[in-house]
Parts: sequence; structure tokens; C-alpha cells
Amino acid sequence: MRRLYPVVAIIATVILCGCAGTMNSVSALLSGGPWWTAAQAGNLSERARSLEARGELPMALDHWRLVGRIAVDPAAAVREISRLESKIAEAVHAHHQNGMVELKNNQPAAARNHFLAALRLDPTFRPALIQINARFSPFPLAVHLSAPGDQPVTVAKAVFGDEEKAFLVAWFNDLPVDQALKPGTLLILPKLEKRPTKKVRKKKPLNQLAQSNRLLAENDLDGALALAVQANPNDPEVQVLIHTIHLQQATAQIVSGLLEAARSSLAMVPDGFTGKDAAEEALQAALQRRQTALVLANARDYFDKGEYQQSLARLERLLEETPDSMDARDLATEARYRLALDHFDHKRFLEARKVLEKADEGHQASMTLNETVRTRLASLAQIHYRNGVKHFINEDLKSAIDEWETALAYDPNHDNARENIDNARRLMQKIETLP
Amino acid sequence: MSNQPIRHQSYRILICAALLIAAALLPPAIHGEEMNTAPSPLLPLLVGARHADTPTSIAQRFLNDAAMGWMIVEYNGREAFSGGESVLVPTAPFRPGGLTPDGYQTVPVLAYSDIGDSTEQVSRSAFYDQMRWLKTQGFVTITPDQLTEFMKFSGQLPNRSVLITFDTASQSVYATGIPILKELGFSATVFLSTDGVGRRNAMTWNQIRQSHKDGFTIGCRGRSGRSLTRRTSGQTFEAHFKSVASELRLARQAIKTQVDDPCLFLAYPHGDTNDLVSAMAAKLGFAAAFIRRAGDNPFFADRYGIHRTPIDNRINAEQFATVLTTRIPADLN
Repeated sequence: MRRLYPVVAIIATVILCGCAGTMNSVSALLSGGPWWTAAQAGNLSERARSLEARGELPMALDHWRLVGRIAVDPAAAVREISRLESKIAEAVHAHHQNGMVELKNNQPAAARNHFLAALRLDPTFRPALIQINARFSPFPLAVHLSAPGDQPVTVAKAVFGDEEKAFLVAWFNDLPVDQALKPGTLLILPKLEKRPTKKVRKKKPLNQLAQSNRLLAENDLDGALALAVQANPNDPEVQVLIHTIHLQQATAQIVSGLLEAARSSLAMVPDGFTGKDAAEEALQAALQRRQTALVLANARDYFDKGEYQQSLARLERLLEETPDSMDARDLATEARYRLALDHFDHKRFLEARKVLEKADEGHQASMTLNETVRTRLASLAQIHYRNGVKHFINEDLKSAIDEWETALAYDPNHDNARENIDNARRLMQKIETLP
Repeated sequence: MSNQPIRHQSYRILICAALLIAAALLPPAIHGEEMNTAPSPLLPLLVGARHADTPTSIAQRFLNDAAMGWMIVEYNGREAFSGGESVLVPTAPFRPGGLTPDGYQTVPVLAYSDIGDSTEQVSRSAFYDQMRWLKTQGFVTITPDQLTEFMKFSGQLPNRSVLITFDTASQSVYATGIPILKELGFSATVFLSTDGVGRRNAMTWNQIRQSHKDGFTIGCRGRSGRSLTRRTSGQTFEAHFKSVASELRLARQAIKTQVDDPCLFLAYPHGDTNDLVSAMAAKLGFAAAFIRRAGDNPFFADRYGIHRTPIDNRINAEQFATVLTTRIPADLN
């Protein structure tokens, strides 16, 4: 028997390896293990030299660093790493210096290429990146530090040469236009050419109504409204135009989800105005969708927390109001299944059956669970039925009826239980009426 | 008889050794990894290719992303590997900004107005031919997100990257353009003016949501699609400014509400911008914005003035090929 030990050992090893998929690792070990890795050092060194010859110094350096990790004797790699690091650092420094010189010589393209070359060799070299970003990579915003006594008006005058652009300072920094600024406040401003803008003559347009109509046709609602409200308010055409603009604003706001703003815009339009009813309907539909989304999110929260009863209650209410919500329906199906499963796991089979009465017939898991619950209830009903029979034989009719009623509750199709209950009750009546 | 206990002892040692070897081999088997992976996140991994491995399968195994196969191809300078051959798998961008000794990368961005037969549009057959040509030439479509990372000098793109954009959310784009792109494994960006959605011949919000789910980026082209740089006569500078701000803010808000994803990219309506409109786009939270004018897009280009080359029925196959420049020669040694 003991002679078989080596054979047993080999078989056990093979089985263990096979079960764990280790044979694959054995082949991986042979083709990619430590011996294989060490053997790649020469290959990598050759690639590193080739890369260096092509000017790809950072990649060559990476190759040498790898060689340093895997080579049996890393001394040569350490030397190459040190040499290449110095070579790269010197080249980066030289490119940066040359770039600055070219800038002074007003040769921006040559300067840019030097900075790019420095970045190619060392992508973390900040001075070159700063030069590229500052001089060759335009960005539309700039920063400005406020001085003592500054307000948006003074900043606009100082930066744009036009104090009427104070609203720009305010808008870009979310400030009121008349706010006094603390000294040293960092302001974000658009990069505009500093030139006094041509003053737009503030003469009234000859025909504001026509102007406004034209802006409306171009869908510039704010511009159209600004002009329309300056026109004669008693002119019926102006009134129609203003109502039309408010209506279109409301429509755009509904699409954007700004429903409160849409409600305010619609309030400016008189009842009976063409298109108002349709916009009202669209607003109501959007409000309903938002409400649905909120309830759905709330139900999903409960679902995620495992509170399926709460989730289901909200979803069923939601589905009464919006029966077409597929998201609500899907989540309700899942919540119903999870709730029933929870009842089932806690042996609350009657509750599980009640929940599953509304289960979606297309939900396979619910249908399978329903079948399991009903089978379990049927077997429990049979146990209670037999208990009832035992009580009946012992002439304990009341206990027998209780058991059969339980059996009937578990299995409403248990005809024997129903029949026995009737018989037992009749018997009890007879006994009670005996003299 | 006296040798028996020694022999039994040897057998037991043998069994234990066999079990130990098996146990030692278990961890790599469980993780399905090679045993020689370098732990550093900065250095590439040195791995051995398996039989029938491709850059894609190697990228899936070591980077958990098959789409990164191009990095393996570009780092190793080859597209195929035989079993047992050493492969270096880069774990981080190794060429940010696409800088090489002989130049730098530029990303072509194509601007299609619509699919159709008029001059400004591109016909279905021409569009199909152009996309097929891109595929056969090894071009990879990227998203504006990827382009933005590249332009921030924090990301790397495949050498042959292209961004495809549409300046309309028309039914033709939905029914013709998008299926062709999907068939070829491409994606694109659809810039829409929100007021036009659901109108005649335009995509509905449901179709836009579906396209977004399918991997297409939804960008903004204003609310009405009117020019943001042209001021109407009689309109004050401030009134014009406020109307542009409202135009952009409402459009951005509408897309976020309908698509349930922030809208980060803007194509200036009519393809025009100026300093102020670009600054407003940046302030309102757009990560990048596109003009409609041919030009190069290296990483250091203006992120709020990214060039797009208009492609229409007047462009022939030869001209189309010349538009797809991906490298600007420069001495960066």
C-alpha cells in the first residue's frame, strides 16, 4: 500500500492543478515566469538602444528601468539609467533656455518647438508647459485682482476701458453690479481687446414693433421682449406680440425643465390666447413627469435600502396615477418579487401568496416563487387537515374545525377540509340541541 | 524492516512537497495573471504573449479595457505578437500631447451639416464611403471628452484619431448616419439646437436619448440655433449679451434635463464666435467649444475655438483624404 504513496502524490498534484486551472499557470510560468523574464533583459536592452537612437529618450529610459528590475546583474542598467536621466535633464534645460531666447528674438514658432521638445522629453516639466499655455494656447478667461475702492464699474473701466461693461464684471463673477469689492478679490474676466466700444446711440428705434417681431422670428425672445415692452402698451398688436413672446418663453422653459419659470411666463398670457391651452397642457404633463420622477426616485431609495413594502406602496400609488410608467412598473415587479421572497424566507407564506397575487406573469422569477409558495402552502394545509382529523377522532370538534380552517386558509381548494368543517359544525349543532 | 520508517518518512516528505508546489501555483492561477507583472504604475508591464493573443486581448487582460489595444500597438511598434514573445503594456499615457521627435499630433474634426443631397449636405453613399475609408485607414473615432483630456495635456489619443460631428439632430442623421457609424464601430457627436427637437424631420427627445445611450455624445448648438455673434440693429450691447447668455443657458439646461447628463460641448451656431462668446461658454461650464473652420487641433490649440472641417457634397474622396491630417512635422529633437 505504502508503495503507492508517490503515485497518490502525483495524482493529487495533477488533480489540484487541474481543478484550479493551474496547468495554464504552469505553462504561463514556463513562458512568462522568472526564467523567461530574466531572459528578456537582453531583448529589452537592445530595444532601449534602438529607441534612444531614434530620439525616443523617455521610452528608452523606461526600458532601462525595466531591465534594472529583471536583469540578474542590473549594474549596466543602472549606469544607462543614470546616463539617460542626465542626458534628458540637460536636453530639457537646453530646450527651455533656447525657447526663451527665441521668444526674445521674436521667433514664436521656433520658441514653441523648443518648449514642445522639452515637454516631449519630460512631460512633467512645468516651465515649458506654462510657456505653451500662456503664449500658444489661448484661453478666453483671465484673472484680475481688485484694488482698494474697486467696484464692477471701476474694474470695467480699468480692464475694458468702458465702465458701461460693468455688467460683464458682475455676470462673470456672480456679483451685483453695484457691489463694493474687497481689495485683493480674484475676479474672472473675459479677455477682450481694451478699446472703448462705439457707443450705440440710444435713440429710440423707429419701429419697435417691427424690430421686436424680427427678433422674435430669429427666436431671440429676450431681445424681442425688451423691445416690445418699450412700445405703446395700448397698441393691440404690441399686446399680442408680448403674449406670443411670453408663450414661446414658457414653451422653451418647459423643455428646459424650468417649470416654475414657465408657470410665471404662462401667467402673463391671458386665458383664451391661442396656444395657451396647449402650453398649459404641456406644463401639466411636465409637472406630472417631474412628480413621477420624484416618487420613482423615492421608491428606488426604499428599494435600495431593502424596504420593499414601502417601495411597493409608493409604486402602486404611482401606477394608479400614471399606469403607463414603464420604469415604475418594472421596479414594482422587482419590489413585489423581493417582498414576496422576504416573506417566504421568513416562512410568512400567506403574506407571500398575497403579494404574488399581483405578480407580473411575464416575470419568471415571480412565477417560480409563486409556484413554490403554493406548493408549500398546500403541504402545510395537508398537515393541518390531518391534525384536524386527529382532533375529530378524539371528539375535540372545536380544535378540529380550527385546524381545518387553517388548512382551508392555506389551500382554499382543499375540498375535504371545507366539507369536514360543515359536517363538524352540523354535528356540534346536533350535540348542542340534544336534550 | 529497519528501512521501512525512513522510507515512509520520505514518502510523506514527497507528498508534502507535491502539495506545496501545487499550493504555490494556486494564486496566479486564481488571478489568471502572469507571474512577472511589474508593480509600478508608471513603468510598462513586461508580459509574455499567449498563443493567438492580439493587442486587444492583451489590453483586456492587463488593462481591463480591450479598447486600449492601440496603446500596446503604439508602444511596441507592432500589431501582432506570437506566443511567448515579450510585450510591453503601458499603464499610463507615454506620449501626452502626441509629441514625437519628428512632430506633434493634430486631431481632425469633421463637421457634417446633414445627410442629404443638397450641396451643404453629404449624400448617404458619400458618407458611407468616407466612413469605410476611415475604417480601412485605421482611424479611430474619439469623443469630445477624450479630445478635451488630450488638449489638457493629460491624455493620449491613438495616432489616427478623428472626431465626427453633426450640426443637426435630423431624422436623416438618426435613420442613416448613426446606423452607418454603428455598423463600423464608430461614434460621433450630435450638436443640436433644443428648440428644433421634435419638429418636422428632426429627431425626438426619445431618439436623442437612445443615441446617447448608444454612445453618441449630445452637444449643444444653442437654443434656437441663431448666430451668437450678430447683434440686431438697435439692440444694445447689454441686451445682446443677456440674450446670448439666456440662449446658451436654456439650451444647456434643456439637454441636461432631457438626456440626464451634463452638456459639456458647444458648437457655435453658424460656426462663429468672438472673444466674449467664447468666454461666456467657458463661464457657463462648457468644457470645449467648436468653430466651423478648417484648421489644426494640436493639444495646445484653443479649447474654445476647436477647428472643424466642413464636409459636404462638394468634397471628393481625394480632398477628404487630405483633410485627415493627423501629424504636423516639427523638429522636436
